[in-house]
Amino acid sequence: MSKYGEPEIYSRFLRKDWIKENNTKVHFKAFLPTENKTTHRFEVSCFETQLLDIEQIKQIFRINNILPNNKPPIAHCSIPEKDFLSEKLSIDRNYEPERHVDLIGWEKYQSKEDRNEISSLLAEISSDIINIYEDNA
Amino acid sequence: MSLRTEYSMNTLQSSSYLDNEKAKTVGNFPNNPFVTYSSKNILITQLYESAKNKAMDYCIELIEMNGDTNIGSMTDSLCSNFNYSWEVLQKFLEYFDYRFFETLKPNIDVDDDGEIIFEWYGRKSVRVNLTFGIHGELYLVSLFHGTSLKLKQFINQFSINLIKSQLIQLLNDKVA
Repeated sequence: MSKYGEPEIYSRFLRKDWIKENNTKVHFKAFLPTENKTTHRFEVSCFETQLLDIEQIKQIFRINNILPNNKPPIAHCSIPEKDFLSEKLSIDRNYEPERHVDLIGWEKYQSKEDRNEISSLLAEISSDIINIYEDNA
Repeated sequence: MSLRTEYSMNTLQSSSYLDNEKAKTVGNFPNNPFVTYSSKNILITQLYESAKNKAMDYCIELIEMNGDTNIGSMTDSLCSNFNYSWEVLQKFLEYFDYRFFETLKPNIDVDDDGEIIFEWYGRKSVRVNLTFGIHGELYLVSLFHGTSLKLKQFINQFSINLIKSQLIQLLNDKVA
């Protein structure tokens, strides 16, 4: 259960090369899990963004910038809880930093084709809600 | 940039594809007199340039994120995988009608392992992606209005036909 209210919305920052087809599609690479070097767990980093407006979400991604050389994120996409593939993955609400969650459970999907499929599904769902930051694009 | 990393980048730039005589002799489509060997070679060159640029961007990103020290093995591995993946892609193009790629231009990318990815988009809920694995395997994922299909298969008649059918399905949906 989220401490930030319901229904939950998970937002993921986007790099320029992950946004395709005139800003209507997210590349599946955006949702390919990476291995956490400390825990060795595969995860996709997101933030809970329910009840926030676009400016507040932008602020979260700017403060918690994870792109190299301080490149600013140029967009984010979102997955509403109702569309989340909860039967396939789960959420680790670690809230470190604030509102941060990890999409976990990738260990069930060891093969590349399985992970590509789940990532493609997440990318397709999130393509419905892409917010481009005009000032950074 | 360390010497080793620079070497890796140079390896990407001087892949053997230009010397590969095989690439110059495939692509014979006798039913279409307007299709020449050279048009296929142009396409191969364009695909290679796009994929190589993506791989180099990723190498640079790795260096930016991890620093220049101890990065050599990561970039070496990426470059080596990229070159194997490129060989698989070339092999694929010996059997697959390359004119599909003129009608449906793939979005080209490289994954964290250095493997080349093609992705095509249709309307809402429609996409196909294809990864050229370093051991000769193809990874296909096709999403089509709520149904999903995935495949790991070597290059053979079955995989070629399946990929073709998924791209035709995507194309038909796009123009419907």
